[in-house]
Amino acid sequence: MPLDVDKVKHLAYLARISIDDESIDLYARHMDKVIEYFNILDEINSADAEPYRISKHIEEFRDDICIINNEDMLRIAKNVKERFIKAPRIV
Amino acid sequence: MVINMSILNINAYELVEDISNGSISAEDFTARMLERISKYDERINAYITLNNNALDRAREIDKEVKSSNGKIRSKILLGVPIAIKDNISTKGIRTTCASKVLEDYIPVYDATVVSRIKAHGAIIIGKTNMDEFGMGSSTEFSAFGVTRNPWDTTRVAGGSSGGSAAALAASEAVLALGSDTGGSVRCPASFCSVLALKPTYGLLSRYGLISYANSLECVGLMARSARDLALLLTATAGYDRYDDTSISNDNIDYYSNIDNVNNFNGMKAAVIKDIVDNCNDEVKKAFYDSLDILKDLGFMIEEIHLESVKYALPAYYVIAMAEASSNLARYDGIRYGYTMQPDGIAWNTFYSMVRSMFGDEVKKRIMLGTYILSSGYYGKYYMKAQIARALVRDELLRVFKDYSIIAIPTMPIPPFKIGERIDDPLKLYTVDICTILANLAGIPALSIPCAIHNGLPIGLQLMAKHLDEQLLLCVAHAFESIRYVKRCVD
Repeated sequence: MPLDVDKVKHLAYLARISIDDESIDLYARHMDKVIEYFNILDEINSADAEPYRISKHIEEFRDDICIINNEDMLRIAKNVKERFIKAPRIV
Repeated sequence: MVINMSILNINAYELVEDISNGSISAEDFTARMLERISKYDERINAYITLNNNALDRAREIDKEVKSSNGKIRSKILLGVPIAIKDNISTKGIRTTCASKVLEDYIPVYDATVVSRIKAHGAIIIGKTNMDEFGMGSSTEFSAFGVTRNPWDTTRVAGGSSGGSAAALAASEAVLALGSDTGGSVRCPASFCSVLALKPTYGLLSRYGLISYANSLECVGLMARSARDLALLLTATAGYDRYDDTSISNDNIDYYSNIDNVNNFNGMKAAVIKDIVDNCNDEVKKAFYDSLDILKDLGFMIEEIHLESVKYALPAYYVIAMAEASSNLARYDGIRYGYTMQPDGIAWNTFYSMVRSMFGDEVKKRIMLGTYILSSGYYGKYYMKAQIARALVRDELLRVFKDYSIIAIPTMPIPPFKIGERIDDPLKLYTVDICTILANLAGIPALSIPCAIHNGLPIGLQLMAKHLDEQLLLCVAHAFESIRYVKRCVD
């Protein structure tokens, strides 16, 4: 199923990225081409191998202490009020 | 003390010796390097930000040397100006990932690799240009302009660590850090005639490396000699408690061991025919000439065929885009980066508008990653890609049971013209075919200049099994003692 303009608009919504109308056609063409290329993976049988996993035995956890200064972090946020960061309305 | 401009091409290990014994002043050298950058960088645009404190740090180092009476020897990067790719966090120095979204972001901490090089006396010269968030192979996708290849400024420097490679080739740094997700230090190294090492996944801490695809990426090292790569690896490698994917290397001194092996009699090198056949003729010629040198060093060369190669590139991009869609979700304009006044705007609108500041390539990759991970497509793309990845890893590990190294070209083509591949995504993605294998499997890979053809650099790539960086460095060191290709433009 080709990746058309409507699908790209939906993906842009899911990814929460605003795209201007002039760009959508080009995005759709490029993205459809890339997905078409990915379809070669259909040749792979799911039984061919276990999916790749990285696993590592962790022997030691670090102490549960904050390693970055809160004051520093508040300083680089822009919409700060006292010790809070202002965010847009969610509800 | 007057310093010739040509001394800016010095190796790091020589500079450290000269600064440690007082025969070169760190301040003089750093000042000359900054002068070089001020005169030359507008031609290539390697740097996004210069470090205002570089000279102060150099002066402190000169004072340390005067008062140390030889105890300074433990600092193995003493006074060395290092360029750092702009996706590696540097406390107090702007770190943009070449994106408008982080245009004025100043980290409040150093990446572990930065802490380690600073502890060894290095001087951060500046932050280098890159493809936005590491997404690209040419450093054309930067919000701060294209980085041009010093060897031919109408051509790309490679990517995504193009700024770091160009800085080294233009004598604007002595060492450089980059990052490598699918070839992003090796590609620009090949295109700019410098060396690069993508280490074993986990050998260098990723704490402070701003994420793009966190199961694939590593901090990468760049230099103008194998000895310098070894020096930088010795200073930066090893377990870090702040990165749970990091591993120990038992404090190997790669630098001191680099002369230990220079005869490789009895070792076998595998050449992946499926990859070499798809390279262009100039690259093939340079590559086969390089194989003759490996034979002179004692290697037996054999061609092999890998079944999984045809799935490697699509698998790489599926996984990278999927991880990118997750890793870049944090750019919401709340805690850092580009933002707007939130009053009167609903969350979805605010979030979407902040993220409209990403470049086109980043937006496409996030959306493709979203598609790949979405219901109904997850099994078709993402799970199949992870199976393909396992097939690639398993096949490569089987190769290393019989062969010590794999040798292939670093890039299938020489540096291409700026703008040549930017309108067709697949035309750009397919240049990664030689480099993505190492990222999929987590194995180390090194690129070394092997030829300059019609003025354009070509690189040889060597890969080894996990944690076998020492072998790669020894081979590279022996190779360049026979075939030394010019590293710096005039």
